[in-house]
Amino acid sequence: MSEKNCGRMNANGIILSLSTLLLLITVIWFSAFYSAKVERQENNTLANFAIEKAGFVAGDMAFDVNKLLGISQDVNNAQGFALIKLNGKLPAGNHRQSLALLESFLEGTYSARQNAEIRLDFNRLIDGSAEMEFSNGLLYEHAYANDLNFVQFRKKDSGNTGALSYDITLFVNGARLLDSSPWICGTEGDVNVNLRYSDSFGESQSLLGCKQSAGGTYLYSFEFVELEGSLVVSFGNVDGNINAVKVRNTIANPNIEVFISLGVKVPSPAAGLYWYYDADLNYAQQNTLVNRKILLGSA
Amino acid sequence: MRNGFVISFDALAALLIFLVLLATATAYLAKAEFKAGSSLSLKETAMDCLAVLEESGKLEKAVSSDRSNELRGFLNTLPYSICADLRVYSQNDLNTPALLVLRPGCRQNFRESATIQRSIVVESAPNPLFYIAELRAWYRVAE
Repeated sequence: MSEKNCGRMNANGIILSLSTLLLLITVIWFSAFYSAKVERQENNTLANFAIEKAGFVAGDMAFDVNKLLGISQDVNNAQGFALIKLNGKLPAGNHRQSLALLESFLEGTYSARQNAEIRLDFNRLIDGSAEMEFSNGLLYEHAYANDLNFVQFRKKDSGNTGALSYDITLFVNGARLLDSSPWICGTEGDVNVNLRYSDSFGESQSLLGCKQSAGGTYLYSFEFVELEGSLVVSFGNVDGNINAVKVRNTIANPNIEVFISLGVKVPSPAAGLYWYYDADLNYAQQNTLVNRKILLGSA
Repeated sequence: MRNGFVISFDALAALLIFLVLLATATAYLAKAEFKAGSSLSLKETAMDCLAVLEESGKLEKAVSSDRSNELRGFLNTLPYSICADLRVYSQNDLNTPALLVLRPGCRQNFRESATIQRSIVVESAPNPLFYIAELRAWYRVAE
C-alpha cells in the first residue's frame, strides 16, 4: 500500500470517527431534552390536578350547604332569556343549628381528611334568612326564623327585577282551603303572572295569564279550615321592591307544609349567569387558594 | 496468509466510547415515561364516581338503610379495567368504615392507586349526620 493511500485511509477514519461521535452526542442531547420535557409535562399535569381538586372540594361543600337549605334550582339561559326555577318549602325548618354543625364538620374533620385548610363563613346564612344571589343582581331570600317565614324574589338593590313573567305554584300539605282572596287580574300590564294552587285535600284553583303592572301592588291570600293565619302571595311593589314576588306563610300550625315553585323569565345577561349563596369559602392546599362565595351553578 | 480481524486497542476504545454514549442516550429515553396521565385518570374517575353517587342520592340512601347493594351495582357499571373500593366513615369514627364495598372481581393487588374523599350529609332528626366517603381506584391487574 502506498504512503499516499495510507494517508487517505487515515483521514477517512478520522472523519468517520468524528461523524459517529457527533451523531451520538446529538442523540444524547435529544434524549436529555426529551426526558426533561416529559418531566416538565408531568409536573404541569400534577399541578393542574391541585386546581381540579380545589374545584371538586368547593363543589362538594356547596352541594352539602344546598342540601341542608333545601332550595333546588334549575336555570336555563338561552335565546336571549334566562328561565329560573326555584323550589322551596315553608316553614323551611330552622337551619341555624344544622348549618353551624356543617361548618364545624367541614372546617375540622373534612378539612383534615382533604389535607387542606378550609375556612367558611356562614354568618349570613345562619342569621334567620338564607340569600341566594344571582350575578345579574337578582336575589332569592328564604327566611326561616320563627317570626319570619317567607320566600321572596327581588332585586338586591330594591330596583326592578326586570322579570317578564312569573309562574307561581303552591301546594299545601295538611290543610284544606277555606277561602281565598285573589288579586285583580290585569290586562295591560307588562308582566305575565300565572298562579296555581292545590292542596292535599284535592282543592285547587288557578289564575293564569294576568298582565300585571311591575310597580303595582297585588295580593292573593288563602285561608284554611280550622287554622289561624294565612298564606299570602304578593306581587309587584313588595316592600319597596319593584316587580318582585313574596310568599308569606303565617299558618299557625308548623306541621302544615307549603311547597313553593317559582318560575321566573328574565332577559339573559350578556356576561352569562351564575348564582351563589351569600357565604364565604376559603380553601388552601399548598399553593392552591380558592376564595369565593358558595357557588351553586352557572348557565 | 489466512483472512482475519485485527482488533487493536484504539478500535476497542472506539467501541467502548460508542457503547457508553449509546447507553447514556438509552438511559435518558427510559426515564422519559409519562406516568401522570394514568394517575390523573384514576383520580378523575374516583372524583366523578363520588360526585355521581352523592348527587344521585345513592350514598345517602345506602348509609340511611345500611345496605350497599346499589353502591355495588354502581361500581359494577364502571369500565372493566377499573377497580374500586368504597368506604364510608361516620364523623364519629374515622377508623372503622360504616360501609365497605369492593367492586366484585377485584383484588387489592395494585401498584398504583388514587384515593379521593367527599363529605356526605344525611338528614336526620334533630340534627343532620355527617359522613366521609372515600373511594380508592386502581387499574385491574391481570392474573
